[in-house]
Amino acid sequence: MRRRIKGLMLAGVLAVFLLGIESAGISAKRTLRVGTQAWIVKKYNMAEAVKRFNRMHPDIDAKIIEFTMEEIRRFMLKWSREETSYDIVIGPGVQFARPYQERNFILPWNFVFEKVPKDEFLAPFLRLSEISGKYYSLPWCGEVIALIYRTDLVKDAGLTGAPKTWAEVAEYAKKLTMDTDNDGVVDIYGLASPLVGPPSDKIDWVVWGTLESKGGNLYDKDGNFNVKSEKYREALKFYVDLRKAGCLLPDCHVDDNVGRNAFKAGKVAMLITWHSRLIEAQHILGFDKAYLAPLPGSVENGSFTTLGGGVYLPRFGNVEDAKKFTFDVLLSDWWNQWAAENYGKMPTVKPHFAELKEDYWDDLLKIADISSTMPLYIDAPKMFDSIATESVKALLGEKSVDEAMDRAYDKIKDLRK
Amino acid sequence: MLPPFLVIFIFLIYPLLHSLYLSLTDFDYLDPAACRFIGLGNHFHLLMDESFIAALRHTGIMLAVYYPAVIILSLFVALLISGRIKGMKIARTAIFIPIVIPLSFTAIIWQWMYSNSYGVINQFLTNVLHLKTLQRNWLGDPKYALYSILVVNIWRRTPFDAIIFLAGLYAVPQSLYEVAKIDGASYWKRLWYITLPLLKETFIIVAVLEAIFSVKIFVQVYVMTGGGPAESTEVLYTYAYRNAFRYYKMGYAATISYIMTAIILLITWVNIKVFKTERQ
Repeated sequence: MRRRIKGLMLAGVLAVFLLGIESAGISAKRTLRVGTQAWIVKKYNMAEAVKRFNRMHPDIDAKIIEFTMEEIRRFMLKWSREETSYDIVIGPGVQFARPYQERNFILPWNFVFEKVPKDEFLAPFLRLSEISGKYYSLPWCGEVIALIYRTDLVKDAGLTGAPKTWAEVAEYAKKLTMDTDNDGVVDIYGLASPLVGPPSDKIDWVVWGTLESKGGNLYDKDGNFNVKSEKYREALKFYVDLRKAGCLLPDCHVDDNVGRNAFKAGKVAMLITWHSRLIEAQHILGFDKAYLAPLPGSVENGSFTTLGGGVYLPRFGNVEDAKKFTFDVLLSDWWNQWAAENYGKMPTVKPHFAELKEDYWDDLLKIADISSTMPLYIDAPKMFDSIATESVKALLGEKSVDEAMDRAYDKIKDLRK
Repeated sequence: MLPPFLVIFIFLIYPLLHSLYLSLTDFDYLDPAACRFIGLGNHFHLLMDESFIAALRHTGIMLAVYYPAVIILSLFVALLISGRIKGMKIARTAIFIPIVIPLSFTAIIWQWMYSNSYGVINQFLTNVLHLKTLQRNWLGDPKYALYSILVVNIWRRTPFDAIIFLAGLYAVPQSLYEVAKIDGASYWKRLWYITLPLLKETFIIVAVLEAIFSVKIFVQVYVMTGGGPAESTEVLYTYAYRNAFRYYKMGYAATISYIMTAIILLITWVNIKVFKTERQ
C-alpha cells in the first residue's frame, strides 16, 4: 500500500514537472503584436499572413490587433510614455512618419536593404518615406492616380475606348453627361473624382496627379513645393471648368466615397482616382464593364503616387520579431501579390510584379517609377489642409483659381519643412 | 475611498489649470522642449486667423438659429405629447429614438440621407413629391451645409429637451387649469398665463444645456463634413481638435478651448441673471 502511495506521489511529481516544462515552453513563446488598421485586415489577408508566420516561427505568437483611424491620434501619447500596444504598426498615412520621427518614436527600416536591394524598390515609394537618408515607413501598398471608366456608358454615348489626351477627357466628360429622362436634371455625370478637402485632402492628390501627367512639376528647381506655377493652376482649373460646365459630379468633394459609389451605381461614367478602385468596380459591375486607363501623358510624365498607409516600427516594442515579420510577410511575394490580384493594391518591390497577369500593371509600374510623391514636411498635415481648403474654394467658385493658390501659398510658405 | 475634493482636483481643477497654462504657451507636441510662455500671444494670433474667425462665425450661427429653434420645437413637442390623446404613450416612447442611437451612427445615416447622388431626401423630393428642382447638394454646397447639420442637431436634441419640458409640465398643478377653465380661459390663455410662467425654471435648465451643447457641437460636423466644404461648417470645437490632434499645436488648441469655455460661461451667466431678476 505504502509503495503504491509512493508510486502515485512520484507519478504526480513527474506529471507536475512535465507540465511545468510544457507550460514553460508556452510561456517562452514571444508575442508579436501586429497592429493593423481595420481596412487592411481583409484586403491584405492578415489572418493567413499571421498563420503562415506562426508556422515558420513556432517560438513566436503573432497576433493581429485591429485599430481604427481614431486610435491613430493616441499613438503619439502612448509612444511619448515609451510604451506601445503594437510591435509593428500597419496603417497610419505616411504624413505621420515625420511627426513620429521628429519625436524619435519609430525606428528606420534601413535594415531591409540587407536582404532586398534598394534598387528593387520603386524609387518614389522609397522617397516617400525618406527623412535625412533614413526610411521611416516601409514602402507597401502603392497607389497611382489613374482613370477608370464605364465601358457600357462610353459605348452608349457613341465613344470608343478611353480618352487619350486631357482635351479628350473634358470632351468625354461633356458627352457622357446626360439627362436620360429629359426632365432638365442631369442623371449621369461624365466625371467624378475625390476632390475632398480636409481632413482627407484627396483634392491635393488628384490635382498633383493631373499636374504631373500634364508635364508639370510639384517642386521648383530648388526642391520647394510649388503651388504658384502656371501648370499647377492649369491642373486645378481643369476640374473647376468641368464643374462649371456641369459635367463633374456635384458632390464628389463631400467625401472620398461619393464618386466611387456613384460610379458603381451608373451615375458617373469616368473616375479619376486611385487605380485600385478598379477592382471593386469590376467585382460589382462585371469585368468587362469597368476598365482602367493611365491619365493622359502619365506613362511619359508620371502621375502622383502615394502609399495606402505607413508601416512603422515603434522603438519600444518587440523589434527583433517585428523585423522577422517584415521579411517573412511584408516583403514576401505571396502577401503582396495576393493583395494586388484581389484588391489591386500595388506592390512596391519590382520583382513582385512578375506574377501579376493584368495588362495594366505594366503601365502602372512605368508610371509609378517616374511619379512624384508628397513632401514629408514637419507641418505636412497643415500644409495639405491649407492647399486642399483653398483648392475646394476654387472648385466651388468661392475664389478664383489664382486667388485660391495665392492664399494657399501664403498659408504654407512659413511652415516647417 | 478618495476624499471627494481629491477626485475633483485630479479630474477637474488640475486639467483646467493645466490647460489654462497651456493656452498661454506655444506648446507644440512635436517639440515639447521648445515650449515658451507667450502670454496672450495665442489670443492675438487668433484674431488674425481667418479659419478661427470662420469657426467662430459658424458657432455663432449655431447659437443664433439652433438655440431658439430647439427650445421652441421641444416645448411644442412636449405640449403635444403631454395631452391625453390615444396613441400618445407610443409617441412618448418613439420620441426617444434619436437619443438612444449613438451620435456617430446618426451622423453617418444623415450623411447618407443628405447625399446628393443617392440620398433619400433628394430621392423623396424627386420621386415622391416630383419636385426635382428642390433637390439640393445639402452637404456639398457651402450655402446649405451648416444648416443641414443644424437640422440634425435639432432632430437629435428636441426629444431630450421635450422630456425635460414634459417633466416641468407634469409639475404644474392641475387645479390651476381647472380654476382657469371654470373662469372661461381659452387654451392659449392658459398656456400664456399658467403654463409658460410656471415652466420658467425648466426653460433655464434647457437654455443652459442647449447653450453648452450648441457651442461644443463636434461629432456631427466631424463625421458629416469634417468641417468642409471649404471650411463652411468648421466650428470652434472641430477647429480646436484639428489644431490639437492633427497639427499638434496644443497651446493654440487650448486657447480656442478656453474661448469656447468663456462663451459658454457668458451665456450661462446671462441666463441665470435673467432668471434671478425675474424671480426678484
